Amino acid sequence: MINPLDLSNKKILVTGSSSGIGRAASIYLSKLGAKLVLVARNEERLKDTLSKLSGQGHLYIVADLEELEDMSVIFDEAIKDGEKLSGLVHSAGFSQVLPINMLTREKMYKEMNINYFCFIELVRQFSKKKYNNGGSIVGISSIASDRAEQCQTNYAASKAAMDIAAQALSIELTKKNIRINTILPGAILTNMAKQVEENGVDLEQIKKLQLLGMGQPDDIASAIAFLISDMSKFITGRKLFVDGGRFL
Amino acid sequence: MTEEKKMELLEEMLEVDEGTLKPETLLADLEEWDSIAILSFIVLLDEEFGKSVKAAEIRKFNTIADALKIMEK
Repeated sequence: MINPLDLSNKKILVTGSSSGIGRAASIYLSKLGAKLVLVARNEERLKDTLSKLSGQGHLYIVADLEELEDMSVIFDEAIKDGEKLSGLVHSAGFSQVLPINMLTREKMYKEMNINYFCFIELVRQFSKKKYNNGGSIVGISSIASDRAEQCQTNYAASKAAMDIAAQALSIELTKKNIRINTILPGAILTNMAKQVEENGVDLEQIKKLQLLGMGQPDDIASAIAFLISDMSKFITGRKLFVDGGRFL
Repeated sequence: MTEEKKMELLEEMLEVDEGTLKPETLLADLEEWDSIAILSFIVLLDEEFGKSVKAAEIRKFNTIADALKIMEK
């Protein structure tokens, strides 16, 4: 019997693991046997995620990716037990609903920084030979990168930047035995989605656009597990739509 | 913040001529008061007054006076 979803020999670093999709993915990956390195800003919430993981040997690192000049410190910490990483999931993200008249360079930079620049820097560090044994990188993009709603100008651009960068990077990373893909979640019921709803976006309306209705964080977590696992070993540089069938 | 300054912020946000808005102006009569204006007003309230106000609350407003009333720290 084979189980290509078995992650028991994999150590995965997940950013944004204190909430939403990042937390769900961490829990899900641990259930498949992976050893997790949780990265986020909020220590209390990280501890909470840690307490929900299956298996042993996980660790958490408190870090503010936006502020961190040198991300190698995260990776040094992640492999200090002598075991290199085999996967990276960038789930940390930031979303603003901003009409064009309220967009400023500063606001655009903040969103672009966490969603895109940090992703590239994490990939750069992960891909160093000292930190990995080959592996799989998954960036959590958004359906907005393909079908943007009003007032998502910069958010959509930051996610589209992730997608196309992943395609370009896949060429370089293949030589290092690393695959890289992005996932485009549709509307998923997370705290971030609830905040967006409070800011005026009609989630009920968006839900109607998805054939399968509103998604749950685990719907994305399972897709992440697929891309991290050897089940997807022939997939790289691609965008995976996990949007419940959103064609409208 | 003075009422004049608040009115100025609203007029700037809605891109209407100075003096266009009066407290009694009905929002329903303002072509510029649409879903994007509401999103802009949410951002304005957050930035200028440190207030987090839900869109549903703003949608209940009838007049400019309602908007002015919430523009307080």
